[in-house]
Amino acid sequence: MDAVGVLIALLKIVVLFAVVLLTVAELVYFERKISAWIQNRIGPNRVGPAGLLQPYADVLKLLMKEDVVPAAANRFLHALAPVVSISIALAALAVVPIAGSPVTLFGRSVIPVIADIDVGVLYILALSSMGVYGLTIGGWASNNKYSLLGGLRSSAQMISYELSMGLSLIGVVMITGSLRLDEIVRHQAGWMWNIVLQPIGFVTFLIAAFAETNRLPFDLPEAEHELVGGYHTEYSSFKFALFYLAEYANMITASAVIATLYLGGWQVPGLSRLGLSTGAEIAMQIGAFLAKTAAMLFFFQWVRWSIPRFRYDQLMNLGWKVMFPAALANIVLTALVLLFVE
Amino acid sequence: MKRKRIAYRPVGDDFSPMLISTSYDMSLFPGHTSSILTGTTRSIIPPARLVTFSTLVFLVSSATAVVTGILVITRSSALHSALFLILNFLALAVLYLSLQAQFIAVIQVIVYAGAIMVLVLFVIMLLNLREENHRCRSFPRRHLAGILLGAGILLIFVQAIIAASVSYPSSLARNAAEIGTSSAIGDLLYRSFVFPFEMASILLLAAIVGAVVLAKKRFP
Repeated sequence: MDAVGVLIALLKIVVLFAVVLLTVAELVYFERKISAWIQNRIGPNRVGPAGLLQPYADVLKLLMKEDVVPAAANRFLHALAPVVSISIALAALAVVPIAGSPVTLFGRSVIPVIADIDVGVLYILALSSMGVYGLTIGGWASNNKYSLLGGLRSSAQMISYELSMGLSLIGVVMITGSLRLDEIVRHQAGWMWNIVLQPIGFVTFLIAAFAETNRLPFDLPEAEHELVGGYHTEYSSFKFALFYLAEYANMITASAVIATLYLGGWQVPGLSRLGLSTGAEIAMQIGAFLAKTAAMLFFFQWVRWSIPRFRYDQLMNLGWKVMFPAALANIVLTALVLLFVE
Repeated sequence: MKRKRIAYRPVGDDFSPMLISTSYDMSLFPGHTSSILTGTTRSIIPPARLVTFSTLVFLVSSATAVVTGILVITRSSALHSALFLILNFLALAVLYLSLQAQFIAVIQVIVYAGAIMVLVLFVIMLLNLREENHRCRSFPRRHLAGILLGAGILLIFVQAIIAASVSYPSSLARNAAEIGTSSAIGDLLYRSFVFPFEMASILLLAAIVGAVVLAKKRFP
């Protein structure tokens, strides 16, 4: 491993982290602004121009709070849980490609993804299945019945929805014939996005993504009306900030993955006909990828402020009796269509 | 028969130049990282440093696997045991990865660390098994039986490993990066071994149906 290679890899990781963390800050601002628009309010407008610096003020406030750990808590696991959450949320983005062709940097061509691995789709599934540990361990280590209930709910919810998530992805893999995210995006050239080819799979994957990120209408692990705050009831200060960060980082990861798998990733329809230079094309592709991710993020927040929370039995019924059969039917349907087309 | 001793070594050690030039496509193996991470296809890594890096990965992950494995059976709290078992599975996944079997590595994380252990944690938390302070009453006879049994199994394992390392073809090592990909495994499962594979899936289906029937509890 030569020095320049390591340097480029580190640079990519640092850029990704910086972009995600800054986006989280602005995402919190937009969450509050969008909720204000939807509820006919103004939203944060005091700190900085149009309230743009509000998230930084919030972060500072959180950092200055006292870190309270319950006396009967398991101190090590209590501290470990938020770290697990945030690292898993950030790691999944490593396989998402953001442009179509390599960039030249320091005299060598650099692929526009941190790790282009053969099993990209499975890597994302593996990380999302590990994501539950942060909430579960946090809920258990707090030694509080509300936290424990939140942790239990999160594990039950994630097990139920991971199945539909994996099954809906199989349709995409069948069409593409590869688990590599780069090839999945290349396969969606023009308007042949997977959302067109896989409408049922898209809907089931989208719903499962909401459940996996614990966003409303599926935020039962932290349902504040029933569980005070769920798994993070006993968390304060920076540990709470990490959980908060992880929730939004998860949302960014889910949006980027949905954009990559179903919305064509960095594909811009008709881009090759414009006759742009390679550099401009790459810039357009990165822009398209970011725009699609941003649209998905807006959708996440739009849904949060439009749809009320599910009841626990409704959540389980939806997961096992609607989503699971629908995802299975999607596989059979895709197989039949592929059989007759080929 | 000439006994060709091939000591264990992480497979990636003998790199052919062909492998390096295509490594961009295929692996997550640590030695390949520079080419994966940067996408460069021309960086040829000096083999000596590579060996040390993959050996280091092997040592760290196998030590983690052994230590966490011991901790799993010695902790008194069920939850701690389960958490160490998760770490153990992750260390095993890293070992698979260092053998270039990235498909197996990821499946190991999804199935064992991700699905089964979540269920185990779920049950432990549901039953709320706190530190129950199991009185460790001594059962010398049982201990003796356990030690004997363990020694027997260890003997079988050592024998198997020695036998395997004798007939270990070096061509397998060279193609490890190709064998470990999902397409290669899919090819094997659905072409060469399709009958045993389908038999296993029917068996599992029967087990699922049986579990559902038992769970319904409509027996007189």
